Amino acid sequence: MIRFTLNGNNYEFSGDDDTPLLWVLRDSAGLTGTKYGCGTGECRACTVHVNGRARRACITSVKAVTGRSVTTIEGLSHDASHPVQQAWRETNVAQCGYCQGGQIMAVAAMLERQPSPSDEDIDRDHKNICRCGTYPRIRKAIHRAAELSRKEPADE
Amino acid sequence: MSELNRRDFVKLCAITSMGLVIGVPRPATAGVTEKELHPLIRIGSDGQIIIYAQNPDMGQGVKTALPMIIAEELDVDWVSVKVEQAGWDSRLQNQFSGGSLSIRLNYNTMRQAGASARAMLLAAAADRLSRPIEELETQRGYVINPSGKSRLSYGELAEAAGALPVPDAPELKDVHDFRLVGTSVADVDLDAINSGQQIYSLDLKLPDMLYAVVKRCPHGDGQPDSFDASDARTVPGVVDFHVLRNTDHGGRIILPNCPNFVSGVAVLATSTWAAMQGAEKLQVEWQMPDSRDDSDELMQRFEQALDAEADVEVVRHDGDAAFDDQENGIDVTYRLPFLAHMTMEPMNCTAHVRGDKAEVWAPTQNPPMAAEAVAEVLAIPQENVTINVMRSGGGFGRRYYADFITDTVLLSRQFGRPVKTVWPREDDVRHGYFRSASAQRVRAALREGKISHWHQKVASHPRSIYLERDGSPAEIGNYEFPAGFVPNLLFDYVAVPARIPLGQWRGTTNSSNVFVVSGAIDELAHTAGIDPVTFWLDLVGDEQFVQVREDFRFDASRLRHVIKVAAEKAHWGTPLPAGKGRGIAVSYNQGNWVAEVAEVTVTDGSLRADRITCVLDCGLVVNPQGAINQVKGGIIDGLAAALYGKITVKDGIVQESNFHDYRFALMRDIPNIDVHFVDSDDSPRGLGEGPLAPVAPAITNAIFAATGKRVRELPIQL
Repeated sequence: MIRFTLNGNNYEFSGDDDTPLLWVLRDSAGLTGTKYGCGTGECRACTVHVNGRARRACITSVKAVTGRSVTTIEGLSHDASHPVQQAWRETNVAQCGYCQGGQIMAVAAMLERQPSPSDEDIDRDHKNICRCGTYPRIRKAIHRAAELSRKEPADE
Repeated sequence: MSELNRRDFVKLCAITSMGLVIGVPRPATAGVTEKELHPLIRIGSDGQIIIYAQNPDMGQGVKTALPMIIAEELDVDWVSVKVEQAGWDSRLQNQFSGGSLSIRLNYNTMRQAGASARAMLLAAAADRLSRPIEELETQRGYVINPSGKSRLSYGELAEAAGALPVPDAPELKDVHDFRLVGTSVADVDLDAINSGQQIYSLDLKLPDMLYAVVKRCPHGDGQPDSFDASDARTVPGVVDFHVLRNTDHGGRIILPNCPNFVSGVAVLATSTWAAMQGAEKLQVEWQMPDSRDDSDELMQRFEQALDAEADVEVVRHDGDAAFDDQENGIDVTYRLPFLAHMTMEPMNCTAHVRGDKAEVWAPTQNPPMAAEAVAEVLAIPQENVTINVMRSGGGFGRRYYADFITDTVLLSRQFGRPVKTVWPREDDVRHGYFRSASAQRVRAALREGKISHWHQKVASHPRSIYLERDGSPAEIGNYEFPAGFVPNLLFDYVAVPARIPLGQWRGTTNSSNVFVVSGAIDELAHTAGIDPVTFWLDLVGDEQFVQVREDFRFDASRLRHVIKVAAEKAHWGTPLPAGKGRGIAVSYNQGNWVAEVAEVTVTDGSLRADRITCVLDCGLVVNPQGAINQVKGGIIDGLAAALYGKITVKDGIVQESNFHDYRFALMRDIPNIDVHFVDSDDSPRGLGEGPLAPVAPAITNAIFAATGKRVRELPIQL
């Protein structure tokens, strides 16, 4: 039995402990906002937070999160009010939307480490694939989210 | 309840922490009734306006834009509208997303849908108020009598209006009175997407559902011979296995222009991961077909075929001289690779077959074809098929076909349970229906600085033969530019037989041919010693219309305009530092007029696209925010293909398997992109494909300007 915290609640998984976290979230916990895109850690559509750090759920086994705190896009905020989600809305980032949960989770973690990223920081650090090509708006929304985060510090 | 009404009510209605509940009617508020005024319009007695998006949305924005057109003519506030996705409905026309056609083909029918319902509401109000209809007007969800104080909401009138005959030719608004169309509206699913609540097909979970992964023959024409499941059975959660041979179910091509599933052995399990693991461990002996294409060898055959006699003469204009009478020109060969779609959401499908009825949930671009293919493979009437159209995680032409649907319905029938088939990414890449590779030769001559002769010959293996489509095999259009602009012109085509699967891809043939045409015109400009923009403008000329063929008149003034504006916006002609260059390219075949200027930097053999300026005339723009997203996305798609796109086939088997060896553009690759729409109230045309094609030639022409190196093969290698 693997136990971890999932979006603030206790969660138990009794299946194969080598199962990737991605499929535990999607098939067992019913949290389908974390997406399957490649299964090899390339596309990052499955990005979640493990103890606050961005992790690719498709290449993270469920046993590796034993005792840790996992946050998915569904748990980032109760009402899509996280600054990154607000910025994503204002900027109309999404097209098909499939990768955007992972994009938002990756950016939320990036801004925790680097609250005011430059364009060069974004080019270097942002590696999520968006097949629709929403990148220009992702860049704009990252800057906007940084601005919103400075206005509303995360600890409030 | 009829099948269609039942379909209308089958909605995803609840998301719980343990998954989705499906098949429960949308809860109606107590005492509220809904009335259908058109297959795409329902109005509740409480005033709730429900508009169905006719065509599938895969990120191109039609789930928002098509209902906007209905809402405009219906005269309702957008905030009062609830948009839902229409399932397959045989009463509807053009219910597919492809060819940049959703808006272009349906603009008038959407206007008429909204206007018909509005006319019915007015007629119901006239009856209720005993007033002549001419005295009444509509205003944002109400019928009002301006001379008095009467005001009736659409909700109050819906029941009576729905019983009235549908008018044939309802009065349409003057486009200058539009309040909603032409303004920027957020995607209707934006909030669900940003909170992780949007449900895609891959997210579905039905009660008692089995998960399937099909271990498919590596060669699409092969068949499973025998299998050994002793290892696969040991995977916890693996339930059963089932051999799927397309030869038992209609063959490799199920309908003209629609491939059937690729044969293999299905692993059924209680979770996606168990099914994937089971497929991994399953041992299958394959019967491989005799044809074993190799893409490199095939390209050599294409090049050799360019010296052979053509099979099809597509368009020929004989002017003042024979084609062999040429000097001062170019004789060049361009090469284009096979391209994959790489939709973010891999192929998948969920189905529940009960008796002679089938219900399908699929990320399809083509609901009518899905319904036809399901009926065909199950040998049931089409009216017994329900297709629930899911928002797709990208499409790009891949989801036009039903090959990812037909195996799922067979599995559900076999096991008597709902089945979700999931494609591992590796299968999705390996079993694509690719944009065709081709070799294309242009022999062209100049006389007094103008093109006097143009002979373009294309060699490829054609989709039409592979997919058993009707018509010419030529992967080249009847109206290909510069037809109509050059006195002596010939486009012809040589078909080279091969079995590599081909299909639609974003701007299918345009994505190839524009690279060749815009590249060769740039070569001719430089050969003539004339600035490329000046050369393009001379070529397009000053006439408004050019008769390309008897049945096709080309509006050259709109092409000239986008070229001029693109040059101006991109500061064409202003000096650039060493190592930088600008290139121009033009697209004209997707029902719109596009000019793009790329600005690049080449440093020590490495390429950086700095800026792409795009000017697009697509007629009236329905939703500017959605349109600009779609155009930028198309440009980035074109950039990624130019930099990285190539599928390699060896011994009949696709070699690439995932995003590491079939790369897509990342943030660091993205240039500044400026998009300018030409103001127009001409009826809207497509815009999803046109901006893609010019990106590659604009960049390669810019590379030439920067370095003197001419790139005639994609993906770009310096």
